[in-house]
Amino acid sequence: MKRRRRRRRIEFEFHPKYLWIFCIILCVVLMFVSYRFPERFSGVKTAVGNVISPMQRGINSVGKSISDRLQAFRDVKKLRAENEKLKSQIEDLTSTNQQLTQDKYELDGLRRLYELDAKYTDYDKVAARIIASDTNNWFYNFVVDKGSQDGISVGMNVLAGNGLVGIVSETGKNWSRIRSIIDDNCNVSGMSIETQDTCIVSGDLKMMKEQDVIRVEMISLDAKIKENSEIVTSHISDKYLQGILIGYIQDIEVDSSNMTKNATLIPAVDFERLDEVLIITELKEAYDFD
Amino acid sequence: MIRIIIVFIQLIVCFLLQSAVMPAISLAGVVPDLLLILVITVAYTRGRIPGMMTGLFAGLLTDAYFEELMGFCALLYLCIGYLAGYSQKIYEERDYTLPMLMILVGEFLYSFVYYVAHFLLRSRTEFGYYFLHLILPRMVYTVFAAALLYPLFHLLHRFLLRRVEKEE
Repeated sequence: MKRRRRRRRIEFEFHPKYLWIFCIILCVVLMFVSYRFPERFSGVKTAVGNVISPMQRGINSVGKSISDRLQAFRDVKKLRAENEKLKSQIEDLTSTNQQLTQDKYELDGLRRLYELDAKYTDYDKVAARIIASDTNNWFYNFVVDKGSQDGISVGMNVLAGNGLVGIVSETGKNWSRIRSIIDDNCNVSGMSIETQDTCIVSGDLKMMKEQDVIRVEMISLDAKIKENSEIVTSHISDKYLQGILIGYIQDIEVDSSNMTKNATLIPAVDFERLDEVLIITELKEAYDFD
Repeated sequence: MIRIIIVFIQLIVCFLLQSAVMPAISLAGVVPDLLLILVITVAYTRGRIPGMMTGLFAGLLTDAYFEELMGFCALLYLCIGYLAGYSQKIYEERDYTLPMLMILVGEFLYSFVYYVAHFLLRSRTEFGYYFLHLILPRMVYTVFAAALLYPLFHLLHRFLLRRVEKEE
């Protein structure tokens, strides 16, 4: 038995280093090719996704039930206090609600006048469930259980509640990957709903981890943008449909270059507890630069 | 042959756990790196070639599913698997400290290179912050997970080894 083992080891003794160098070269070539010609690998990636994602969907339900149970323990205390608070809030709200319903009739009339009916609530949407998230913790990507067979294609906008979550960056038969707006690599062209000032909203891992906010840049110096005003996707963006709520702006200050203003933004979506998302099955018609 | 298939199944299971189940029970916003635990375990118990092959496939799986750039994680896991494979020469059945230590160091190397390539090169220079809030928690969590997983993998390895030897 011992002899056999030794023999096998000697057999391998020649190979490892060369095999290692070969594999390193292979990886480097792979990186280079996938950088230069990203579409070359889309077939492989789609195939891997098609195999893996059904398994993830199955196993995801296990993970969900575990976390639900843990969450339940944590929540009991919080819920009791919240319940008290909510009860008193309900009373407040019912009276405001009455007032608002009256206002709504008035608003509907005015909207019709201004032909503002085509808000983003009217887009066709597909609901999807998140089945996996990035295994490295540096970026905020995740995978959902709907793909090209449900009519989803790359570049579609993703919502949750009434806020922007991100954009579809890759899609397979029954899965698609979504890059969220809080991703460190992501930039969205935004606009203040009140003053029409444009800005760039970019994800920032550090700010997100520290204060649950992301970065807003390139606000022009003479902009009359105010704190807490709503930022929506702007008309000049070539990827995002116009008028989707991104979040609320805060801490506006002049940039050190003295040319623009910077700020932070609280996303409208709670990314910590994201579970189901809505994908708008309509692409922004962009000018084709090629 | 059977051992290769078993490692492959382990790989898939680890990947599924890491991407689909672990985010639900993440601590401090990080999930443990189960693939790394598997790579180091294979490298420690069976040497450089199995170690680096496991690393290569673990990386390719991650790349194909989550990364824009194919081959980057594969390269990282490959090198970690290869280097860890040297320790097979001093493999000791009851030694649990060495694999844990290697997992700790391996996770640091992995995260560090990942940070340099994806963040430092885009002039996100506050390494101290990222170390404290991402790399360190991930290292600790991974080692914690390894304390549970490594004995399991090791047991499986022992069982398979005994079977292979019996057949021979």
